[in-house]
Amino acid sequence: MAQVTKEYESVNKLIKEIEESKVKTQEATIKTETLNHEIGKKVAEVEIKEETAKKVMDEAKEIKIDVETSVKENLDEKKIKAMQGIVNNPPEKIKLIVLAVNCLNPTGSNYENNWDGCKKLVMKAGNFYTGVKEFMEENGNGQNLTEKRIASAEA
Amino acid sequence: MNQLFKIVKEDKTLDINNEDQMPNYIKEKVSQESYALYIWVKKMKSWFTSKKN
Repeated sequence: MAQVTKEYESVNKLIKEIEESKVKTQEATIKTETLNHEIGKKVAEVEIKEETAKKVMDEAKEIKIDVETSVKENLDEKKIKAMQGIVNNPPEKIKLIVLAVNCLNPTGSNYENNWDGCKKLVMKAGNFYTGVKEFMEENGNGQNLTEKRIASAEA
Repeated sequence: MNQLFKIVKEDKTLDINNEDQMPNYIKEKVSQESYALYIWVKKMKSWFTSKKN
């Protein structure tokens, strides 16, 4: 009888261990599934970020090509120097365009946001031209562009 | 730039009602360098907006 009881206890213990093991396995499975889900979410987030970054880079490339073409075909240091002749009495439309350019601070000189500041910009024709041409480069002044400056130029 | 468009739009002799007409108008009637600078300002706005998003 004692032997049977002992066997019974042993079997019960084994069943309990199996049950506990089942629970642990279930918990581990749930944890793994949760982790897989989280990993999936992170991968999707990274993919979206990569896609957005690529889109921004593609757009930047396209803009850079457009600007380079337009500058190459229509602007050079000589033409800016020629503008020095009209700084004291500029035609209204040219004045408004130069004011907008000055707002974006192409040379990084932070000239005043008025016609006096524009005069200084135009008088430094070489810096003006280089600043415009290289604005989007990694070391160009466009890296310091702010929303406030864009809004001023757009006004 | 908005002020520039306003002035041009208000000049009825020019027949410009849409901002898309501005680049061509500036290139043809103002000056080549003004055109390059106008495009530059507009493109820098697009670049900044694209980077921000």
